[in-house]
Amino acid sequence: MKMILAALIVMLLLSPAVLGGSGTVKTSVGTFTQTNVFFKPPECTKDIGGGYTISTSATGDEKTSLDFETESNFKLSEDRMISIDTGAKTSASGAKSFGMMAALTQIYPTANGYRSSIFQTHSYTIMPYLFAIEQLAGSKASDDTTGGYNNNVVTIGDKIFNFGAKSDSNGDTLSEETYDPSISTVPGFGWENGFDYINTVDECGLEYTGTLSTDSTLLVD
Amino acid sequence: MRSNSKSSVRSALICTLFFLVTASTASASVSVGVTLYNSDSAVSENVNVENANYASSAVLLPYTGFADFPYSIHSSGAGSSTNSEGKFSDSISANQNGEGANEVDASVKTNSGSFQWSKSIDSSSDVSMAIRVASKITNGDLDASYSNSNSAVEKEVSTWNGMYADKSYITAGSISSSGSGGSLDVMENGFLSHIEAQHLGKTAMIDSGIQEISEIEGADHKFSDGIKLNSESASLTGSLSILSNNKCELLPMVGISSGPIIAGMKFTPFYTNTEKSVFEVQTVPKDSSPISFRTVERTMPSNIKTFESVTLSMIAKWS
Repeated sequence: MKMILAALIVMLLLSPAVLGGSGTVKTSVGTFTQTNVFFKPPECTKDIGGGYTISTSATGDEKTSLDFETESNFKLSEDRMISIDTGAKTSASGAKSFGMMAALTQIYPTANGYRSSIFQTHSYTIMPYLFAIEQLAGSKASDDTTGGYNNNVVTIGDKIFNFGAKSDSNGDTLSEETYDPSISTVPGFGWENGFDYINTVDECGLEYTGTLSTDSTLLVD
Repeated sequence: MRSNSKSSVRSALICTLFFLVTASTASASVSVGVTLYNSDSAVSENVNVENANYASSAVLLPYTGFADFPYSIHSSGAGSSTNSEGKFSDSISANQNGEGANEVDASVKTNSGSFQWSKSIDSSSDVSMAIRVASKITNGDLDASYSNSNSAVEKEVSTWNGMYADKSYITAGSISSSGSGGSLDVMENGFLSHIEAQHLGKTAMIDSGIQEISEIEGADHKFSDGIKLNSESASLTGSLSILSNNKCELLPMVGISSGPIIAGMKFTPFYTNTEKSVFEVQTVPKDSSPISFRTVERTMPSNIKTFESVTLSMIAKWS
């Protein structure tokens, strides 16, 4: 019987952080971590759980600001693994760089120890000018699928540029990127992003970690 | 007077041995076996070479501290290949007072490659021994094994349009080995690698490979491995990366169906004595099918530079 023992919705909203002083300042929402969300199904002596971490930061001038909002759902699936669906919306203004890193972890017990699946994504944008960015990033993991995305909308004055990447382990292509060709009119624009699929086995005194990572960098001369 | 006496004793009791072995013609094979012993220790060395030079020297004394020497037996040697197809095996064993036998072994065989190695043995209050090996292949094959009394390492690597270099250090109590390689041409390159570590009752193996079968401009690759075995723990690592270049973009595809470049890794752990699995075979990608890639000619505006890479890696630790 499929049991749903709990659902967790977390909302975090941080007010814009305005730092004084001259020169480049760094605004960091810091790291928001929701870990160790564990379930214990009937007749199971070990916890089943997981969690996620999302971290964002921006650098810019005095009025750099960053808003951060996230929502996640945890669900016990087939009494043996939790499925996680998490998303985050981040807005930054007055920035010259913006970065995001998110990780999602599933932990489940086995007869001889524990195993885990981790999905990570990261994105980093730089621009020679002050810009505003709105990023939507999310990831999902269940017992047979894992994947995520980050979509970015950058505004410089009255110009708007879109770029994004997505990845999942079940589609035809491991990772795909799209970007607005007009971004080529912005010399100095740079965007790095990547995805990591990590599986661990910790059984019988042997720890194994296998990782599949994609990484992509785009630079405009 | 006393000094003269000491000097004469040295002359009489210090036995210095030199060996020089050369096997430089095709398929020439030479072997040498040496046993050194005194009241403290016994040291045996066996060296076999094919298309390689080897030279060694040894100092044999009656006991540790004799004539102020800090050892009673000291032996050192070094060798190197003289042909791209060559091999050597070097085995050292030692014991003190008939107890506590230690052993260190190394053997390397290259096809389209080269190697060099050195070794040293000192018997004093304890016996220390070590073999240091460096080998390299270009579009060829490497077959290497390193072991001591407690552990064993195997490496088999083949490359096409690529190279691989390995450096290893073997002592009586530890083995460390690291290797790295990469493509030398963007077309039809690839490698296959098998690394195996046997230590503390468990054996772990990583098999990895890339094969590019396209005859058009393709991607580059690089790969590496590392093994560290000591008295308390073991670690085994391997990684490979497929890289775009200034002529092509890289599209990683899930599954084997699409691209002319395929890559994958496999991890196999088992108990050394029983050969029973510690847990089932693990793969990257996780679904046991290789990842495939397609390369496409760059079509972006010339002022946009992109770089894509995909990396597969494995790490295993046990104690």
